[in-house]
Amino acid sequence: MKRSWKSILGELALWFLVSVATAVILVLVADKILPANF
Amino acid sequence: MAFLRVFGKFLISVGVGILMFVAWTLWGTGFYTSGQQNDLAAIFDRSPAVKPFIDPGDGSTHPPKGFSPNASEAVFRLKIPAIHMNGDKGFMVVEGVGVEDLKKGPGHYPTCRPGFERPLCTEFEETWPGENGRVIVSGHRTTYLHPFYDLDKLKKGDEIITETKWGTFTYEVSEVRIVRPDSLAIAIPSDSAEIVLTTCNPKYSASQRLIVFGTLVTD
Repeated sequence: MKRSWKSILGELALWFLVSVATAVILVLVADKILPANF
Repeated sequence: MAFLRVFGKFLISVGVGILMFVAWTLWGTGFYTSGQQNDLAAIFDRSPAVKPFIDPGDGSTHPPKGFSPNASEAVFRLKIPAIHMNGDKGFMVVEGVGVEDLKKGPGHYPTCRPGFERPLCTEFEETWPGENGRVIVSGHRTTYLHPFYDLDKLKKGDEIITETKWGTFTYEVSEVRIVRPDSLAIAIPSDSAEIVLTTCNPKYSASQRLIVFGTLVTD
């Protein structure tokens, strides 16, 4: 079954949000997980 | 099968997020530091020069009596021509070596007084450029504009210049040493006028500490 471009775009946006959320969480805990003078 | 497909896409997305984080850590953090450095330099350059206190006993130069900057305040400019630090502009060194201090630039190791807590301060008297003792400066190696990125390239005799409001003091590299991260090699007080620069080693790792010792040559 061929998917519509809207459906593909929606799924891409969802996975992009997952990527951004991962990056934001890591940025928020960066001070705890990275050594002081890294 | 459908679950595996979705899970695979999820893992790829998380992987892309980790790559975004790495990019932010290595380059994005530099934007913050760059802005802070510009602000610190502007404030430092606007403030007037002060008259040094010359010890009548040994003729050594000190900042004015009562000089006691707050955390994250710019205290002097650090230039290392051999490694073209920050495009030869150098870095403003801030007071304190806490996480937030080092995000703004290299930090001067303070004495333990209000505003500074162990282990990020020394019980010994604070030493400033020009004074007898050990001026200790800590900085990032690969993040936050990586002020000490090329510190390992310094050789004996290279100049380390500190521009303070009470004078300019030049040090010459006397030794480059790599120690364990828990080493107390720099915490030992010194009777001679020295500067000690310290950062993580190797690049992108914190498994060791890189320490550069410099001896005061002029004032």
